[in-house]
Amino acid sequence: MIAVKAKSEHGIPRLQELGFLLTAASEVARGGTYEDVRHALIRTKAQLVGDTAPTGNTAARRQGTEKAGHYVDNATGALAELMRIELLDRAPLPSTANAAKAYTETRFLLTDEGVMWLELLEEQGEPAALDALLRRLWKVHPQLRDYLRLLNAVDAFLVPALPWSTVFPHGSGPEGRDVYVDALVAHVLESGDTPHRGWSATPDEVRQAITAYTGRREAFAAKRGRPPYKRSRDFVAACDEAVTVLALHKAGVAVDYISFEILRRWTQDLLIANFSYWVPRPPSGLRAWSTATLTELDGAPEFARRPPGDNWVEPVQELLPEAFAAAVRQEGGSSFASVWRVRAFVCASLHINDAAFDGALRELQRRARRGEVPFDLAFEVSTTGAIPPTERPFRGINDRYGREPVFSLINVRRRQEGVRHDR
Amino acid sequence: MTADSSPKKKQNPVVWMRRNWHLDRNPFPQGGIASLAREDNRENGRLFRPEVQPDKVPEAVDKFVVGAAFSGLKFGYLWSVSGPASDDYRGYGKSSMLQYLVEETNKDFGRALLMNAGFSSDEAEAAAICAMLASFDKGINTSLAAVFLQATEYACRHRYPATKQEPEGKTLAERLYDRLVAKLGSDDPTVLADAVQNVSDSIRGRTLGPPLDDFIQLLCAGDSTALGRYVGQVKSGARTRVGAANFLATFLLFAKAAGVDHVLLGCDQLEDFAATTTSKQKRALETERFRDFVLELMPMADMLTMVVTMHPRAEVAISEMWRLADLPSMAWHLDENEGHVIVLREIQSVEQTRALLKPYLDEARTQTVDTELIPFTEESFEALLDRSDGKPRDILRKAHALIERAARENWAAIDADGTRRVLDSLALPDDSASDETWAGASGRSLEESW
Repeated sequence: MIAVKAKSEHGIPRLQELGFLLTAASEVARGGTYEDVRHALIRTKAQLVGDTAPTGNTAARRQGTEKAGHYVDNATGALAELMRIELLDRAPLPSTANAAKAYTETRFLLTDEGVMWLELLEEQGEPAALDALLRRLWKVHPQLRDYLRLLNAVDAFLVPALPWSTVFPHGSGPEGRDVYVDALVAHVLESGDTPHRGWSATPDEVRQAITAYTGRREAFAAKRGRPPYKRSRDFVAACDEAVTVLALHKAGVAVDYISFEILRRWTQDLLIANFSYWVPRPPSGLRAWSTATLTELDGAPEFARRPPGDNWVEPVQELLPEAFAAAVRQEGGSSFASVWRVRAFVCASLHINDAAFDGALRELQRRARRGEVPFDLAFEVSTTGAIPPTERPFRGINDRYGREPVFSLINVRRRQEGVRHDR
Repeated sequence: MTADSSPKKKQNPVVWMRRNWHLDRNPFPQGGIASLAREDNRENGRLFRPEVQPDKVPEAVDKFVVGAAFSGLKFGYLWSVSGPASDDYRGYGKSSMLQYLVEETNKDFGRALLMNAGFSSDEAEAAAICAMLASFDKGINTSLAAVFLQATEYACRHRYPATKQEPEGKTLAERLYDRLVAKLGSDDPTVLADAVQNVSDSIRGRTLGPPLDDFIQLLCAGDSTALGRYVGQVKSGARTRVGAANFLATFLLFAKAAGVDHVLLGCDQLEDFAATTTSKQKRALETERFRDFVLELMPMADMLTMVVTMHPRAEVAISEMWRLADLPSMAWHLDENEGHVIVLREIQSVEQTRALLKPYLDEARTQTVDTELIPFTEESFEALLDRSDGKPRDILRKAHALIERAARENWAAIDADGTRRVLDSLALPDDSASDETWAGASGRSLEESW
């Protein structure tokens, strides 16, 4: 059992989706039990899975053959967070799947503020409710505050990353790890000149951070008699995590890697920040940027967001050929580029979220079909497994049968006269 | 639409087709995926006519056939690219066009094609060329060696099935055999085999090893059945190994002995080789083999030109490795690639639609008819084109659906109104009910709620 303490500030909860808070609160308002909340979260995630890139999430499958222990962490996490931000009355919650069996019939109570928040959700919709939610999250999560302040102070927070294949084009086994670390340290330092990246560190600090991080993992694995890294990419991921945590600490955000993963996802949903590993510009690495201008008044944040809308069509149209050219350069000069690279270029340049880009691109797709833009757009369907886990395919406009295609590749080319347009 | 509205019981659709339209069956394919091995002429690409792509077939001859015979072209790329009306790159007729090009080349070793392109008879004869076909797949033919073996099988076993207009064709091996016999003035297998060995002996430079002696004996024996069995008996495990490529190398020596110095190899389905399910390491290795086998090893380096059908996914998966191997760029949108890239696009005109559909009607016709398009009309073809994506596969499938419906309803003819009504009533195209092209979940991320 966990009891949600009445502390004023908390770490980032392990909550996969911010939307779980909306789902859990709505379920509680309907008089749902802990079990109902758990089921509702599984349904919510199952609906979202097709929308996002393949993440290995099995919510859809779990709907059919679920066990009592599934999604207990998420159910408890969502309810606990609602208690921390004072939308639910505090109450004990199960901390394990076994303990959850005793809570199946437990019901929870919304606070007055919780009731008002749900009324806001019902009457004004998700954007208003999410904005109100952000103010509450801001109060209790100092790491969220620090992260958003950082992004508002820099053009883009940059954490250089280096693929294994860049160091070893012809492959290498575990014996290549020391060489890889040397190359990564050099890459991090070389990119130190990138303006406004948000942090700096000495070579020793970078190397020490990597060694300490990977060393902890190796010790943990040794204790359990397992290999620390099955594949080179696991070692690369550990090094990337180490450098990311160091960079965040140096930039004033004291956060562990998993919390950072959750933060960057939440802030996308809240339409106040965005990130990508795929911005096709040197140096390669993770870039995170603000998509809403932050001002603070008496400790309360105000965010001037850049929501999706027609106003992004022209800027996206302007940048699209350049973004495509940059993406193609990174993909061996092929005719098609990954749509997420193009999207990342545009979003990082305009400081907008993916949703704003996708909305504008859909409108450009319509205009291209009518021959109203100076280029033709071609897309290629998405294929499972081809999309990085942090990225999403592009949902195109409906076809003649009313279906919504999803694309992973894009080509932007000068408009060809004589090619037939809309049918 | 002209419907028989009488209340009497409707006739069986196939009987209706036979009695009223003089078609022995639905003339059009249900799938529209050209598969070389199929005996059904609706499904094997045999009914492709160059008028469907009136500009592209001569362009393919100019770039690929002339390029191979005269310009030292080593790689050509056949793309299909959608216009703004569609975003699917399948079904444009790449495979059918490649088959057509290969078969037309083999009929007279490129003579007619080259002469149509402006070369004299002597020039065409001096630059004799033959062609082969192969395809990657996700089963056995995942390596270049396996594709080379498959190309050899094509050359030794494949005959174009007869149509009502053309008889069954000879295999390429039979044609080369005839040519070799004519060239040497002898059909003595020993003499022919010696000529092939002499070609092998004259090679300077790296090879895959000595030619396959048993294979040469069979090629020179003129026994197609035994030859086909020999090539076909290679076990699946051996097909993917490098040694399998030696079948093609040996066959090329045979072609050269027959006075054919240039061989065009049409290679389909590169996207299967480049699928993300194939490990990156294997893709990189096979890409290097493209370089070794086609550009460096003899006799391929001297004789072989590869024409590859291209797909965006394949390009993205291998273009970087392709570039690192210093192979010619496959990007279709770059002006500098104009000389070795052909891009198929949607059918634009009713004339092209007619050129696409009429051979299918002719093939199924049971007797000569007064109105050659019956049960269709020019107007219904126009409506069909308008209600399609302009891709040949889509048009063929829709024509199939139209015939099915009209025969079931016992229509006397399929007019423009009937065409529109039937096609507008189709809930989904046939090709995508089960693929992963479409968004599967109704939910949206919170980001999209803003």
